[in-house]
Amino acid sequence: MIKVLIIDDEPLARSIVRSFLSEREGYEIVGECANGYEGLKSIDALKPDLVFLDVQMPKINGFEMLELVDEPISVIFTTAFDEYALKAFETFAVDYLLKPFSDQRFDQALEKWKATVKTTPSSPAFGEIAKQPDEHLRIVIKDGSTIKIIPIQDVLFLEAYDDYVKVHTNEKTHLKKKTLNYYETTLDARQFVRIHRSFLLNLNELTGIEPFEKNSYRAVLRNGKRIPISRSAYGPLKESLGV
Amino acid sequence: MIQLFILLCAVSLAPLPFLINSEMAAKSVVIDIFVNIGTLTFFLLIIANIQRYYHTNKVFGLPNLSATVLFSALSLLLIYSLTRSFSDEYAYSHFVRMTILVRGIIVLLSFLLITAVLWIDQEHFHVQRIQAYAIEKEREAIRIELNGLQEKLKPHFLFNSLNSISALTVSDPKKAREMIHLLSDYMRKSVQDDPRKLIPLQEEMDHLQRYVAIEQIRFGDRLNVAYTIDEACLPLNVPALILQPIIENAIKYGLYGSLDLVEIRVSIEKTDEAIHVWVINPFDEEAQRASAGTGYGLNSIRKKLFLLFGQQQLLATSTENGQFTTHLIIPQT
Repeated sequence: MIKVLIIDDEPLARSIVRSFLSEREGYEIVGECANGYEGLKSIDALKPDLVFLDVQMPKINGFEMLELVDEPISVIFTTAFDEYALKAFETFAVDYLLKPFSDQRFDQALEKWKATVKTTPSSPAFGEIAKQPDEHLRIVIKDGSTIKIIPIQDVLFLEAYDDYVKVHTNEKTHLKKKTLNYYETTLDARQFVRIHRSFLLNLNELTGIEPFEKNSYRAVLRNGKRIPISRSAYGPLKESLGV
Repeated sequence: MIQLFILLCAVSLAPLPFLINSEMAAKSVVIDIFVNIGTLTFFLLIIANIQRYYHTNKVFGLPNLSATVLFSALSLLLIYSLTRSFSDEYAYSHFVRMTILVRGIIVLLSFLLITAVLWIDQEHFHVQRIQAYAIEKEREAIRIELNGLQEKLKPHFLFNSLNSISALTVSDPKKAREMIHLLSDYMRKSVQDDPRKLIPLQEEMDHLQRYVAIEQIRFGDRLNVAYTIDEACLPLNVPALILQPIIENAIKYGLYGSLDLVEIRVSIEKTDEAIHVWVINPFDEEAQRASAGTGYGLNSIRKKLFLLFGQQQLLATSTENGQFTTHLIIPQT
């Protein structure tokens, strides 16, 4: 049996997927969730083979939920109208179904999923390029069992850390499984500037630049912290500050 | 290009001393040439700049003609006084006096010529600019109309509602039919009603309740809307389609900011001059700060109210204890 999880905040939308699946052989619905929080717990506990996921949901949207899932999973997005996200669907999901979808279209999506399972044992890797909705406004982080939504203006700077990025805020430093390059390309380049191979700085937090050792500089942040500026980044940084 | 042309016009006056056979010192001839070229270049540049920044309707209307004549007179005066101050040779000053009329004609003609050439040049740009402006304006109008249409259609709401109907056809056909009727009536009213029209509050409330009923079918028991309405308000006039976007905003931020049951309260009261509407929804401060903000849906209502009543501050919002309140004032005159 193929284990399926349905995540959608509208009960009727869940019931459609349920009834479509019940008409087909070999699928077992292991759970239904009304939001991303429940979704995360269920994915962890039930290890479904396939997830039907809505995009617009309370608190955290479908994309943000996916980011917090540790192991890659097979996802078919179900959504009503998200023209801006179509590209992202292609990157992140096996397929996407535009509500309301037909029996035939549903079959197509299942076929597509079966094909990807055959060709690649693990499901598609998470893309790095596609810009997600809300991505530039906030960063969602899993801190133990709680989920934190960090408004982007609260981020002091981002630091590369192995396969992770350290998200520094005044309260705490969080870890996020992303690359610094990802944030450099998706965040507003006028606000977040790469000042070092390992640092992406929120310019609103910058209060000064001071010389450090010979020929190099450090950025002074509002909270007194200091982070290095690489030689190659110093010129562009000065330019973006207009000095 | 234009500079070259100006120089050409200026040089046209230069060989004047040679055209008329006269007994003059070489020095005077040189002075004459330089004064001519200098003066003409100076005035031609002034004319060129005027033409560039000040475009008239007609090529030789009163402004251009009077300017040309004025500048011709001024340059003659300048040529005359300059040549006299540089050279005191009698034969030369006699020559200047003799040729002043010829000089005047040449000056006037070259000024007219340069004015015409530059004017035609500018006219070309001018027409292009007007055309580009008209196209841009038309595009803007189409964009506004498209946005308005999309706002009326609300694709996200429409497709989600259709999806609910699709589900209900199997599980509860009777409810599916009810939903189809609700949705049709709601869409018909949204598309038909002119937002500038005033309608009785009763009518607007019916429209609003249809919208809420659809949303309640979609979200099930998560959404609860409580009304407290002063009956005396119902016959009074309000702008068509004014309440629905406020509730839509409240539902959106209520439902997407919370995981639990969401209650939205609508109360309507009247004073002597106005109807007051309060819409209160729970909201999540953390998620709010991190999303695009609360303003989007409300800004268009604010604009609409200003266009209808010519007053600011008819829509106010406040937050307290996790409750977001939208306060709408509809003046009754």
